[in-house]
Amino acid sequence: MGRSVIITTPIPSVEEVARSVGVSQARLRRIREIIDGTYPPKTSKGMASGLDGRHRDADGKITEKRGNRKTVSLNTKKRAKAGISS
Amino acid sequence: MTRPRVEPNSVFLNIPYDKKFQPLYLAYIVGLTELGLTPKATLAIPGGVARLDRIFSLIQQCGYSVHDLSRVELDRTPPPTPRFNMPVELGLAIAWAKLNPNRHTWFVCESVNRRGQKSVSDLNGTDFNIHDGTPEGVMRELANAFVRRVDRATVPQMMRSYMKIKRVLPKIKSNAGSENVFTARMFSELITTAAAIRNKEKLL
Repeated sequence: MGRSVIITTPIPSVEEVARSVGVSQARLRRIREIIDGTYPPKTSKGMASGLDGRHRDADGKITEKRGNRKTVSLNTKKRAKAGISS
Repeated sequence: MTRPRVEPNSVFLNIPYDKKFQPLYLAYIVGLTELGLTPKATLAIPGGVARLDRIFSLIQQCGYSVHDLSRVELDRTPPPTPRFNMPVELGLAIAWAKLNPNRHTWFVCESVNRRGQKSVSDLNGTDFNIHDGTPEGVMRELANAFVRRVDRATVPQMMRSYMKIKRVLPKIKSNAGSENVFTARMFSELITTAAAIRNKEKLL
């Protein structure tokens, strides 16, 4: 018996996998909804331009923002002006 | 006896079905699916006279088999009895592969190095895949056993998908209306979930 084998067959699509194990399209749709719910929503154009006063990081963390700047950046600038080192 | 058609992507998964084994059960499902393979198990096979025939038929359909002997131990229910289902199914796979070397390849996993050679000394000279009883170890050993030249899943990628499936598991259970993950329906739902996670992660 060999310690490893080379797999050359193509990787099956999700639909092919579902079909091969007997999962219906409706159940697959439900599974996809569950998985999608665990990912942060994509940033829309409105949020990126600062319309909601918040900033959303790529990992979904939300921080306050003013205009097009995160308040963290503004505070850092203000502190630097006042000569306060962080 | 007619030979069933071999599904080259299918892997016969010979593992214990108990709660303690759940993390490794999920790891095997996620790991194999990440590698583009489809696990098959005896969960859908009912008990009875024809059970052994159906198990053998399932082994014949699969191009590969993975046998986890890490839990061949005495159970707590009196009288203490070792669990022999896994070694029996391993024996069937070995015999099938001996007679049809181009149709089937088997792998045997253990959590402790050299214990397998002690408990099944007939397998001396066989390379056991030692997974240390951890999901990461299972991923590592599966990635070592099944090698893809292109589109190769890395162990960290597989672990990300494993963490993801663990996170959605309560919802998948409630979707399937089952608390027990060792049922035929949950097994197929988990394979599909793992494939959908693999697909989603690729798109990110």
